[in-house]
Amino acid sequence: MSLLGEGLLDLAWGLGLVGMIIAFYAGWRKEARWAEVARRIGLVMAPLLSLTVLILEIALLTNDFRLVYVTQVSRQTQPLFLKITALWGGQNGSLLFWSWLMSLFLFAAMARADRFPRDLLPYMTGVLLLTQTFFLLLNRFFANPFETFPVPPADGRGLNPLLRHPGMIAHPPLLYLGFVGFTVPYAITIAALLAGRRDEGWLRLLRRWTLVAWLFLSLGLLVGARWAYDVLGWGGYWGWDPVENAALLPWLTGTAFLHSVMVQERRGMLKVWTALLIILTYALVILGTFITRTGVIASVHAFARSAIGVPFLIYVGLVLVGSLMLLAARWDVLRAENRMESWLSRETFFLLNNWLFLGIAFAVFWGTFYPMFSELLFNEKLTVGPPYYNQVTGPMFAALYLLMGVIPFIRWRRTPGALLRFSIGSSALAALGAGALARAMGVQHPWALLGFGLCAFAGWGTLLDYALGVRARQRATGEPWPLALARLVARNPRRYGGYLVHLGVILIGIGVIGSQFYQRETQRTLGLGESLAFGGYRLVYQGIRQYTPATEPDVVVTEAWVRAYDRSGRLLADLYPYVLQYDTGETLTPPALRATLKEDLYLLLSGWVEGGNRATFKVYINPMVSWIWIGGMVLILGTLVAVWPTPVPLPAIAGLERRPEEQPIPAS
Amino acid sequence: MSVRFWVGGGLLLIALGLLIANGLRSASQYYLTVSELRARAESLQGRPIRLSGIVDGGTIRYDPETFHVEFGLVERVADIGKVPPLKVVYKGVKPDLLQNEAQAIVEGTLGPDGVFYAQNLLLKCPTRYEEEAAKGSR
Repeated sequence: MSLLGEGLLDLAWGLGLVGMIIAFYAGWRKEARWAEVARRIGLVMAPLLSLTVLILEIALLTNDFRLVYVTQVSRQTQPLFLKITALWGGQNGSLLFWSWLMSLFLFAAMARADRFPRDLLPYMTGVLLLTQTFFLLLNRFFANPFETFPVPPADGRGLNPLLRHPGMIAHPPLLYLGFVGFTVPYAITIAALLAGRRDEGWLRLLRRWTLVAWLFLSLGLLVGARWAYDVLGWGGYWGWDPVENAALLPWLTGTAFLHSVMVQERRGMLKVWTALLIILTYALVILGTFITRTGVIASVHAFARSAIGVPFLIYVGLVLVGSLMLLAARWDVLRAENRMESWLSRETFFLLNNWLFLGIAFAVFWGTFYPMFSELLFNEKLTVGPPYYNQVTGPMFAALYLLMGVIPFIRWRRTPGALLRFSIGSSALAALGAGALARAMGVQHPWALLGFGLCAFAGWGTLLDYALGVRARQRATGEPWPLALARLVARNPRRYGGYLVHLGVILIGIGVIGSQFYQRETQRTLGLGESLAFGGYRLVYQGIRQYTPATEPDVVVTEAWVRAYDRSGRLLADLYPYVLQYDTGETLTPPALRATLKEDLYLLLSGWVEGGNRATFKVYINPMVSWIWIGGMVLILGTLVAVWPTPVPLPAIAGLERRPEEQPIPAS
Repeated sequence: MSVRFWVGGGLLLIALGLLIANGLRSASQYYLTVSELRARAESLQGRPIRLSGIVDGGTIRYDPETFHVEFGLVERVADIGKVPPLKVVYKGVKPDLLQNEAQAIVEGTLGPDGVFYAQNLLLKCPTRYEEEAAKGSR
């Protein structure tokens, strides 16, 4: 088993290395035949790694405790489903999983090779194979999931309880798909730099790949937040934990990239900047994989101690140095074709957007690595908590919301003043109205008022753009408004999908402001039949029970029953907060939730005495958290609209021609 | 035109620098182990500290009516029962992970009485060092 797995890994990294060298040679000498060889090696990676993953899965399913990895994430009694997902439940398995996902993306890119210009394809193949090979070497020599015990134990430790939740099962694959997805736009960009492309046509190739990666990364972050909220039981969804930050960083730079690439496409400007952003995103993806996998960040020493820390750092360093040198060498090719004509233009506003995203990314990066920096700089280990991040990123996010509100009315090159004055005037009125409404509903905090006002400003501006578009269409065609709206979006999915994403972000903003400024909590120990009143709710402790589910024999569930009434005594919900106690000593306290648009009642069972006659509860009231999940869905929907295939005029991309010896591969 | 962009960018950079410096000044904590804190107890009294140590299970006390939690932290597992632990007091529900030999990270301040008053507890289960259990309760 283990020998077969390692043998396959050996074959894969060997082939990958050879393929990479062939690919770069083919690109350099313009050898179409060798490029085809490299492409086929790229295609072979997916079946090879699928087989490798299958072998590890078989080991997990057959309780093969000779493998160290299997004992770390599985045990005899583990339910079948969790044995399967244990593949990415620990470090070494999840890194293999990363390689496998990478090979799938590689396959998808290579299978559609006829869509890429001939001069770019070999270089792109080379960069993708470089990434693939790095991870394969890691899988084989630094984080080997097929490592065996000399004397195998009888049973394993089982999957970490935190990872048994559906959210945690979906979260890593989504995040990894996002991470892996960004390697393709990086590879395309590096290929264009290596080939010395002067035109912008190849940029069109980037868009869909980038949007798909961005979609998965956003989904991964959202599912991760939901998982934290539903499982960790501390009343929040985002804690500015290094692991969370590591996943957020490439999202921030990737979002900046998505915007700046539009400027390059439309106006031939910001070329160096755009290339820099994708290089940065790729480096942060690699770094993020390392940090999310190991959680190691607290100190320089811990970093060096981790077996995979050194290869990761070396690789990130090489990538950065190599890419930046390439960028410097191609400086003349990347000269902007146009100049900024007016500060009141889309170009400037996108640049400002980019600076803000990069500013946020830098602040998050600095905070995350502050223990290391401060140790190196002042020989004193210092850390920062959530207050740092909120204080520093808050104003920059606020500025982004301001930009979101005006961008629909800013044109390329220069903007007519009348339209802008009208839109800003009406948006400002909407903001004041929202502020007054929030004030009337009891919002006192000046920052919260400002935040709600900004969300209203941005939301109004975006909706106004939709409304103006629909009205113009109705006037021209006489269509009823729903049809006009549908056709408007279908005609320009990029624009209106993008603004739908903005609307999602605005809804998320509203939820974040509400829950950050107005979370309330209390805790009380109650006897049977006793009640506690908090925030307009009356909670009555009804009883408690203990049982072991048939599917998971290694856990004891203690579940309390609490009835929630409103002020007038109407029964709102029966809540069942519970505690899971695993025989490994680990425990989980997931909350019971009653969610409404106004607020979530979030109830935790935090302990019990006298056989359950008295139980301790912790209650959170989290205002408007539902808006975050709704906003998340809108964001995903918007991205899907934006990524929806529109017929791309392929011949417009220079250098793209069908090779006669090769038929395009059918889509199925 | 380009002068204005440099000026604008420069102003933004300065704003970013000020924001970060200000954030660091008001929100950074010393990150210390038990023995490091002991060695510098005098000078760090009342300062925000993030302290890591190992829970000495024999010293855990909890009153579920008043939510008074106290326990001792030592530098490493081998010190349990041999070295007198540093007393930590926390107001809140006792986390289930607060067990003997658990890795603890506590945030708070050291009082003049030599007791560490914690606002936040983060606990790692003793058996899982490398995995994601660190994303803990607070």
